[in-house]
Amino acid sequence: MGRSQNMSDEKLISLLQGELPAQEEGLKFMFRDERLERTVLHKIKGLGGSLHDAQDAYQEGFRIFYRHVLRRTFRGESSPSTYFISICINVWKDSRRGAYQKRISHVDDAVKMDRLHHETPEAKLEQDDRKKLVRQLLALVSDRCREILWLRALSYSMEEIAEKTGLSSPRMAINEAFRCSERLRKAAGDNPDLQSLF
Amino acid sequence: MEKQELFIKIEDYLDGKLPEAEAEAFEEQIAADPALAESVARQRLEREMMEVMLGDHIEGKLAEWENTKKKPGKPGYRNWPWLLLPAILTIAWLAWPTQPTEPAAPGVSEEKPAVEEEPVETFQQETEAPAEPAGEQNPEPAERKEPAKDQPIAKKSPSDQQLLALAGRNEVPPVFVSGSFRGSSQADFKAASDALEDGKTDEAIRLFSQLAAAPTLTGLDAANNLAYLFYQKKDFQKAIPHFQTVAGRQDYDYQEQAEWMLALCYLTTRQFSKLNPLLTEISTNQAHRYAAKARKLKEEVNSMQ
Repeated sequence: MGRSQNMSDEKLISLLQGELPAQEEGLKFMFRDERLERTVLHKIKGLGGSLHDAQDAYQEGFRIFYRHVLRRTFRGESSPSTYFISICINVWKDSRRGAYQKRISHVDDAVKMDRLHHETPEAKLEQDDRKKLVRQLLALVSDRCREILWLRALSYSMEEIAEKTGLSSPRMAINEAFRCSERLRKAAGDNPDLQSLF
Repeated sequence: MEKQELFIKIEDYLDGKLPEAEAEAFEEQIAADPALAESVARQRLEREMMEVMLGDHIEGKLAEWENTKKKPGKPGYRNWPWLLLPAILTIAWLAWPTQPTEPAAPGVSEEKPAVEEEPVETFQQETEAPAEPAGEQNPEPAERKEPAKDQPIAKKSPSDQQLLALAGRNEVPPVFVSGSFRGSSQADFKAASDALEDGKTDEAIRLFSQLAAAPTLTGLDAANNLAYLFYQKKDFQKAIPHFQTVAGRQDYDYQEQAEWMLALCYLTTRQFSKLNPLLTEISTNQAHRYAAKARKLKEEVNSMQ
């Protein structure tokens, strides 16, 4: 049951460029597309990768593609499967060069895939520890601020955020985002671990 | 500059949208103004929070979708009963007491069901297998109960190869501690680390084993390294006590990773009674870095058992 038999690229692109539920409908469709997965595995094995490498690249590639879609950096200028396959191949090539993974990074550039620093297991553990703290801090943030953060994570504009959160104008959305930002340190309270995040 | 404007400017700066000269000037301002530096740090942290939110959301969705996905080249686990059918029929036929061709060829009756010997990668072949014994279904199905009692078919468990493959897909890079030369045994630890670095695995195991018994942090580091060394040698039984030691130390840097690897050791050694509660423990701990993986593995293991 291949994707092309069930959904045209046009339809898939329109889903991937829609709202979150539509995006995830499209992503789920691609995720369950066995033929697409086989194509990725076949291509990477054809380039000299092992099955295990190819499976890893497929999985990591899908995570990256997912982010591209949610952040709207997939612009639908090429077929979703072509775009996805090229990500997987790049992930595999990158892994061969020794980099641990590629990701889009809000911190550096919301558009291009940015390679993280070469991750040793120690560096990865350090990063994971920090992630744990970030999760703890997130749990202390108000629902309202978390909602705004989530919409920002999905790359919504301030106009869209205002609309979705019932604020009267983009300026009000900026004010709200600013207030949330200011409250962060307060949310961390006296916890020295959380304070160390700043 | 108004606060809102500053907020937007910081966003643009972090997005790399400011022209080069303006960005450089802004960086100078940041360096000179602690309050501004803190605002930048806060907004940078918010981006990390967004990353974590997105990452967790994606992992959750993928785990959810994975349950309903058929692997390419492999049938879905829900199809297992059908895959077992040809093996059941074949064995029932071979063990049939009134079968006229009773003296089976030597060795045939000792064969395990074919499905148990199939490696994961060739599992796909089994989907086509039902056609093979079609002509051998002559014995009435109602009288199959006796032979079935002697065969492990009804309690078919995954093969060693399947378990190894599953563990292999879930492995994480080993963490060999090499820089923590603490206490009086630091020279010994360094010697063991050097052996490890030189690829002298057996020597490294011998040296780390001497250190691992000590109730010190060095002993814990040695146990950690030993666990991964045994795991790499696929000597999972020997890796288990060392992973247990490390996993039992909540304050140890690599405790969660050891806990996860301990689960994989239980998996490869078929210690499901220990594996299941451990996976439950990991998966229900939201802060555990392997919670999502544990949930997924648990589902896979449950569908195999």
